[in-house]
Amino acid sequence: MEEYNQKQLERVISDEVPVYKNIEQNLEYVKKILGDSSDLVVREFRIDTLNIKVAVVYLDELINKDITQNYLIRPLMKLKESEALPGEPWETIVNEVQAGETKELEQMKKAVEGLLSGDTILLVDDLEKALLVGTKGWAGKNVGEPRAESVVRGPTESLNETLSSSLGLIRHRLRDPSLRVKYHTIGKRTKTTVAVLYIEEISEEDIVKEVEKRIREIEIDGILETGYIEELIQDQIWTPFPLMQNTERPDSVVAHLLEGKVAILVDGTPHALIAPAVFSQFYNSPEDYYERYLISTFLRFIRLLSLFIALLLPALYIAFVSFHPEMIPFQLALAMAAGRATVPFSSIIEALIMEFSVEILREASIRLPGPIGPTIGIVGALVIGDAAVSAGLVSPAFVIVVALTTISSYANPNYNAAISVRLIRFPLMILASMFGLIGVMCGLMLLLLHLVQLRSFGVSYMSPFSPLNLQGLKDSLVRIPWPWMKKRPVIFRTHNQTRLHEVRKENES
Amino acid sequence: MSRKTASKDKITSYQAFTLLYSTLFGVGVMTLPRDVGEKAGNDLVWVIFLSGFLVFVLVYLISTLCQRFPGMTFTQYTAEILGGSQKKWIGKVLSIPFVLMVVVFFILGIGTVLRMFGETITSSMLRHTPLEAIMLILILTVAFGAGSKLEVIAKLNEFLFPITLAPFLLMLFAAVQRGDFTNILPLFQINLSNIIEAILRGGYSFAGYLVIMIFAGFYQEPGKMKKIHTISLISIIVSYWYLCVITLGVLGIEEVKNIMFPVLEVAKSVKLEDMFFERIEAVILSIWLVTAFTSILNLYAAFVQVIIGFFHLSEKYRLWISFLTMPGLLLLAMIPKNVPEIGTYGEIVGVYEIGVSLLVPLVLLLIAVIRRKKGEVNLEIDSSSK
Repeated sequence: MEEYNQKQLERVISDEVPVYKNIEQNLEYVKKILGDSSDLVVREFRIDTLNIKVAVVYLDELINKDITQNYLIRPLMKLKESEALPGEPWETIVNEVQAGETKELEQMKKAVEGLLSGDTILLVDDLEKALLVGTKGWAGKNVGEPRAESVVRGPTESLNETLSSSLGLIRHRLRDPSLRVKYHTIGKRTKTTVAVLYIEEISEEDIVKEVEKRIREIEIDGILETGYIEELIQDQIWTPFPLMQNTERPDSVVAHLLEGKVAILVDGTPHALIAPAVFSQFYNSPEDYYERYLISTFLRFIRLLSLFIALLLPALYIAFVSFHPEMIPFQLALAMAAGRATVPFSSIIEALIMEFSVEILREASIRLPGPIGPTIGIVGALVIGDAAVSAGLVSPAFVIVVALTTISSYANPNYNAAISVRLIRFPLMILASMFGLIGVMCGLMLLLLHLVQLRSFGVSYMSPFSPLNLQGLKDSLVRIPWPWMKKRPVIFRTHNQTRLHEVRKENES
Repeated sequence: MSRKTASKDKITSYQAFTLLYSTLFGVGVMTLPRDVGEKAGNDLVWVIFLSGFLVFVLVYLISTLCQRFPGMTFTQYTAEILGGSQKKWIGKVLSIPFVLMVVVFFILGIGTVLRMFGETITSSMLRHTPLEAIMLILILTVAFGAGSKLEVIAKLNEFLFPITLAPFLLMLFAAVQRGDFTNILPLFQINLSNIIEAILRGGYSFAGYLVIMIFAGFYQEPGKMKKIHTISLISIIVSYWYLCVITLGVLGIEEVKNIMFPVLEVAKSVKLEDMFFERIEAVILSIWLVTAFTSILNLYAAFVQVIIGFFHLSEKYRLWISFLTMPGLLLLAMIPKNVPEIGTYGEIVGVYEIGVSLLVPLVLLLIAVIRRKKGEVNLEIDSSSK
């Protein structure tokens, strides 16, 4: 039965139903499709001066009531004789509506879509036309601060859940006439607006086309977050690494747009997607470009170090302790052996227990309500740090390793890239427990092999290192001073290459 | 909904440079001073250039052949050279001996390098792990890698190349700390018959250059091939020479002759007491592992490519072939009973490679010149082989 209704409904919507002449028939159609929802408001009234019956239809809560009531209904109700154009009721009505966005509709399908996205529909009796009035205005959030990507220096505004507001934040920073914003409506049921942003003069046409093509191909019932799109349009499924970057910083979006990349914004989520992405950009923070270049370069070096620690330290610990104790300094090896003397497990079991408990703590601390979080952190630290060591269950050296690993993985400015490193750590630890350093090296080789073959929208994931691009290296491991980065990165195949023209010569004094 | 964007990019010139460099470097670096030193004594210092020149001639010959057929793979142009214009299968059948000769080299090459690799690890790092287990994980890793496209292999080589340069700095430390360059003297003590043998022995240390015959078909700029290969080979000769001089300087010729892996021994002797590692060995071995890994990987990938190219198999069988041939190669690598025997096998492989890389390109080139066969400049040709 339900299936039958479903089919009926789909048939009704998909058919190109025109706006009927009879207003009652139109209203009946709307009610049938929306199933007599309680939030559907229909206000019918008669414009006496024109002697015509009209109906205003909207979904409560989705619209800005101020506009609908004061600038749509009121002027029509109080229409004066003198303002009416004789014989042209439609033109009169359109003239009277005091709203910025109006659209003439001839299909009921468009009218229903408009209703669902917060517009008001004005139906007029005896005319085969309906008027859509832009009255979108649902409850949104004010512009807040980015939660995950905080910086010391730089703007602290964040994109938010309302697409128009996010777009505003971007347009405000990028007053470029060649910034293109393309809307797509994705999701059979959610009808989510997805905006694709790029700068026409800079971005490579093929990449933009490819992004839009993949987005158009999506057929899903609902899009609630950019994550849906990310997984549906990425180049390869079998990879732990993110092939697109997400950010909630408008300044970061603009910076990427200026590098010729494409940004994807989804209504209802503050996270924008940036495509294509390369590996090294996940280890860059927007702050790198705001701080002085020496500091930025140093910070990038620190992040690289922390990447290696987060990825390799537990595996190396296992390898050295179980296979190559002769390679670590004698005193240290002695201390480590003494610490391990009471530990009843092999080093891999010890490592897995510790790593998993830290992972659980991490996960729990995100879920816990604000005030309890730090408490659990302290309890956890006490339990897995101090108590476990005094009980002789783990060696003190490994507590240090775990602590370093955990902290290091937080040094990464991008959360999703950090998670992939957290994941890869475990297979490396197991390899280390089986074959020592050789196992770790083999694991690393496979990892590298995987990384070099990855692509994000046709751009090699490991560029500018492989394929080597000397110009791209200027902004990779190091961040050279702005005056020397006169060209946009080639790896994203940008047009209009020059981004910096006149360079002020250093004062020679 | 996996959308692997069709990889249009080919092996760039820099990648070609690193490919040849890494393939040769990983094979010979550990044993070169001993191999040549046994015959040449102190004259190793200059004999190595003669060996390099010998290999250079061979590489130049191969490059000439490959450059004549730009954008065509080895199996394609062999069939083209030998075949008639109507009956393509004749060329195919006639090309079998040539292809077989090359394939046999790759099989033997992979076997010896793999075994050498395993032996080095068991003797220096994992003394209690059985050799078979170590070789199994190595070849599993390599086979998995060889299942990817040649472009990916080239990219990996490119990425790893800077890492393989690190030991040179370390060797400099060794030279400064313990080097005594009077060890190199006296020179010119060698007699003529030993020179020939020493040169040949040096030639084996450069083993692996046959891979360019396979990889050359995928170059982005086939026209630059000779130049790139020459630069790459000169870099290797200079690197080997540098390592030999320092090894000789630190250890002296008598020790070099008697130590299995003299270069490793020198690297181990570096004292960096303030650093974390008591013995720098771990770092050196890890880096050497990288070079040896890329070496085997390149050989293996070339081997798989020859099979794919010869039977016109589609890309999806690459990983299958790579894994199906793995057990055979592993068994082959287990044949030598001990390290000296591997050395003997290594020599045979070296002689064989010199023979193959002299014979195959020379014969093919001659026939090509006589029959006036020449590859088209059109680079799209090789898309049929993919």
